[in-house]
Amino acid sequence: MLKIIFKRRLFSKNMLFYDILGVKKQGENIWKEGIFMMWKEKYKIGVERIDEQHKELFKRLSNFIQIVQDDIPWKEKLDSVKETMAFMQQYVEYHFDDEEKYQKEINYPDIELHKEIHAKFKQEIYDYVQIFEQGEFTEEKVQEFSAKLMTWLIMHVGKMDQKIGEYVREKGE
Amino acid sequence: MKAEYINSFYIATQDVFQLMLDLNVARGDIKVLEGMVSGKDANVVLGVTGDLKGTILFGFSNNMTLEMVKIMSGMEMKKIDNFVSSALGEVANIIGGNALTNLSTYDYACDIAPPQVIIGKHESISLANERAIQIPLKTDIGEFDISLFLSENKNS
Ligand SMILES: [Fe+2]
Repeated sequence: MLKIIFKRRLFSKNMLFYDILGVKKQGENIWKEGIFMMWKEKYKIGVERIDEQHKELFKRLSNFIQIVQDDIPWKEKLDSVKETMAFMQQYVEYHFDDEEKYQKEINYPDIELHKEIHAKFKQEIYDYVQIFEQGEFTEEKVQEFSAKLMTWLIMHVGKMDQKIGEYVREKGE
Repeated sequence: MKAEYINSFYIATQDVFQLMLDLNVARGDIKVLEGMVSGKDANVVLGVTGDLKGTILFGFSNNMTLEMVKIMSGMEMKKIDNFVSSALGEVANIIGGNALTNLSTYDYACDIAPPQVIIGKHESISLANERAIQIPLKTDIGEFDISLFLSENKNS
């Protein structure tokens, strides 16, 4: 059995983060900090509030993928998979909302297109959730879902969100 | 086969590999195929519709596929399971999408169908009767290729 140990951490008054302190397999801690990080410095857009959220997002996604890909029979890790998936999904929603709020605050000209792309992606997530809720919570489907999340987030943060940073820098000059 | 197709796919591949994998991509000599390709370890097929009609086929080796997913996820991948093959399919899909955006600057409006991933070397893949071209590509983690089976469909 896998057991994940979370710790609540208050980031700011309306932002609550969870840190994973450890992952225990049969009582033994199998957690290794480094391998859970998918974050790269080049993903930074130069806005601290957004960069922190992106880091958190990649961290939660890494946690999720790590559990999905761990060498443990699917049935035994099912609860952990569900837990880390919900944990990540929650944060996707929170982050998209806050990033849109931020875009509004800075009068970002491409906000409508960006919102549309967020909405489309959220819809894709809901479609998977629906499949999962209908009982098809299989290893194959969850693997497919996590792979899509990974590639989508890398592209979105690496490309589309960079334009927010560019706009902020241009405006600041 | 027009140079615009080749360039659109080559540039899209370079952009996506740089962004997602931190890898440079170099191009080898273009080959002409006769409608059949011997499949590689991991293949991704993308259908194209619109002003251009046909199929794009990506072929990767086992090792390169595992290495690509390792770079993206930061985790060691042991075998090509559904996570690895889905991630590979998405990378090809993103390249295809970017290539179509590049092609739109030449006034081609196209769409792509969701990627199909075919694992297994034993299959040879027959895609069209028409001649096709293959773009061999090289990176620090291995070689792969993209085959384009495209015909113009502009009278519709
Ligand atoms: Fe975004």
